[in-house]
Amino acid sequence: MEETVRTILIINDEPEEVAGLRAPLEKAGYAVHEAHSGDRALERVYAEPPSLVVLDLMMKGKTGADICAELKGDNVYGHLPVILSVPEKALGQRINWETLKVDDYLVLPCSEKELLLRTTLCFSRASRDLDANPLTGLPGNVTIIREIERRISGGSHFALAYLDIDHFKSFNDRYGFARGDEVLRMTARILVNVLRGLEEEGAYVGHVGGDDFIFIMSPDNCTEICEQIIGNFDQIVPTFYDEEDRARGSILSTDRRGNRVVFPLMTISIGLVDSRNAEIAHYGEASYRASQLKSYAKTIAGSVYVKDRRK
Amino acid sequence: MAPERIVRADESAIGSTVTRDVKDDKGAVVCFAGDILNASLLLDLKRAGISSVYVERQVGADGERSVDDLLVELDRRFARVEANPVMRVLKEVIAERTREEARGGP
Amino acid sequence: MADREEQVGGSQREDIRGRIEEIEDLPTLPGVTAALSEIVAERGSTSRDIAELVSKDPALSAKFLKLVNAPFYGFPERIASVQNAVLLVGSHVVKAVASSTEVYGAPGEAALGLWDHSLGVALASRLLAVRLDVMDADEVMVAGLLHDLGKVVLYALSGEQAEETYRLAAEGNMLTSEAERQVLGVDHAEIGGWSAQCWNFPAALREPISYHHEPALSKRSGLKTAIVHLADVLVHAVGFGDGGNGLVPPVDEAAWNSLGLTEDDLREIAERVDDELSATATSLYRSA
Repeated sequence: MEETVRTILIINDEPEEVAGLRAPLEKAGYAVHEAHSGDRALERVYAEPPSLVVLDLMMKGKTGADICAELKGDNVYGHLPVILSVPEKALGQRINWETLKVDDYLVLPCSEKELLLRTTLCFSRASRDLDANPLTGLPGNVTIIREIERRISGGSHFALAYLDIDHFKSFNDRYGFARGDEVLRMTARILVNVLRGLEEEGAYVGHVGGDDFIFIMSPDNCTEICEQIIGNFDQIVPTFYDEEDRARGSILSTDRRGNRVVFPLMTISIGLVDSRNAEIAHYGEASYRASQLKSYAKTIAGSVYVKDRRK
Repeated sequence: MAPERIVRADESAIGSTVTRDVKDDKGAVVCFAGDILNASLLLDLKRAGISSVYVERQVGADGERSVDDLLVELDRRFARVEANPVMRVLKEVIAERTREEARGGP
Repeated sequence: MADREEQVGGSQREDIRGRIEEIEDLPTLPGVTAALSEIVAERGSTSRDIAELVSKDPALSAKFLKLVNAPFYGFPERIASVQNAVLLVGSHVVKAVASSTEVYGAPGEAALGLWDHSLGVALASRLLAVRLDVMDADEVMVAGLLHDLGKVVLYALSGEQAEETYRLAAEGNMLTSEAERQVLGVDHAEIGGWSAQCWNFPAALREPISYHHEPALSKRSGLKTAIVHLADVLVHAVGFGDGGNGLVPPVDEAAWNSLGLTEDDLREIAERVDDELSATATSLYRSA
């Protein structure tokens, strides 16, 4: 996305602090906006995403931590860099960086120089976040494995799903990688929204690469989640095809020998493992089983999810 | 099709016939198409926070618009497109319906 | 573009065009946002319920389509369905938007009429699309709902100027486009087109918005544009929700021919449109 002027959103309800931040940032050439409450801030971020957010820890009403959690839990908006501003007097507080997933912090009041250095560092670091998938903003392999192992060792039950898109390659061949990327971003968005909607906490979506995704949820919700994901995907994916292919319900192509090949519209296949159904000692086992189930799902036409059975 | 207009739901609308169902924001009907507005209905509307309603153009006994008035209005609205054969057909359909309404419905 | 009267000079046009990019909000009628917030808060409500309400309101629909077609999401110019837009932004975003969308405190008659007219053309467009066996009847319905987006935007930019323009149209027995060109140097079809372009709407929406009065100009979505054009004429003819003087615009000959309908078809369709619109309950008009 082209950005000629970077915008910074200051989320803070203390007018003096806002003024102290605004002046140097504007002088440095950024377009600065402010929001004085959590609700207003979120609305602004969703509707007109800034390039960076300076979020105050001490907000009345919806706290800085709440706002941060809501932002960072979203795959599209979550990659916005967030600098947490902490008033000096609040430094004694215990801050849990595991739950408060900001990118950096600043102690207020701070010098102009420091503010600007932190800001430029944040911008540069945002582009260096290696593990996140650059296309969808979802966590990648390293983080995913860590998350699964955390659940296993934590002892709580979970369901793990492996998902991929059937006939994705033929779509890419026909329409090019740019449109293929659009489909991936759409799929990522569906996963995030369904999980967020049905699973209040403990939902997790990762993008392994290409058209491979994984998601983790509580076992109780897993069938409903899979059904909704499938329903939404099937409903939206035809939009990404041109009219004739959409009307026909397939892509026509020829193979190397000149034979006519027909590829159906993309569908999804999900392999689902419930940790209650078998003892899972480590990530490798869970991954292997989910992957097997997914391969089986791929042999069935249409969008399908296959769940493991109780042993 | 009753020719209609939108008016403020206040005393000046008493006696007018409502042309469309009016629902509150829970979907419950506050008054039905065909109801004649009286003080009690106006109060219901006010309670439901509704400030405007669609009513028939004729207002009470005096000022009733005759079929002729309505057809003259129709002529005015179609005046600039009369030369177009498709528009003429359309106008005819509406004129017929207007006459039917006045006679008491199809 | 066809000849456009520029009596008032290019600068006013450019001014309006520039201001479109700065629009932060498209206000809507009172009652709608409250209803939306309620639906979002209800535990059992689905995205279908949300979409059902949003798809009756041109301002909200435009807002969600703008969000989801932003390059930020990754698939600009792709989404033309309100249902899909709601699915893709997610209920947390719907909630934030619902609670922050502004509302016109005391909408004038022309504004109320516009909202109803938009809904009327949405329904008529859908009716025609189904009749003509068009594949995406729902997208055509959205195109119908948004065909007068330019007027919605004009209200957002300057409610007073909008009401003044439509008063002029009524008094001068003019089509609204004529009054707009006279007062502003540009008409709602063009304003709508600029907005649809600025907000990355797909061609299936952009073209009916820009060309619903001159369907011959459409390049990629000729059929959908012709449908919305005819739907607009029909709804003006039966007089649903005008709020103006009710002058009926002419149907374009080429567009009419391209649809392949007979005069008998027209009679039948006009009667169905009239029946369906008469049965439609009025929008929620709440006092400020």
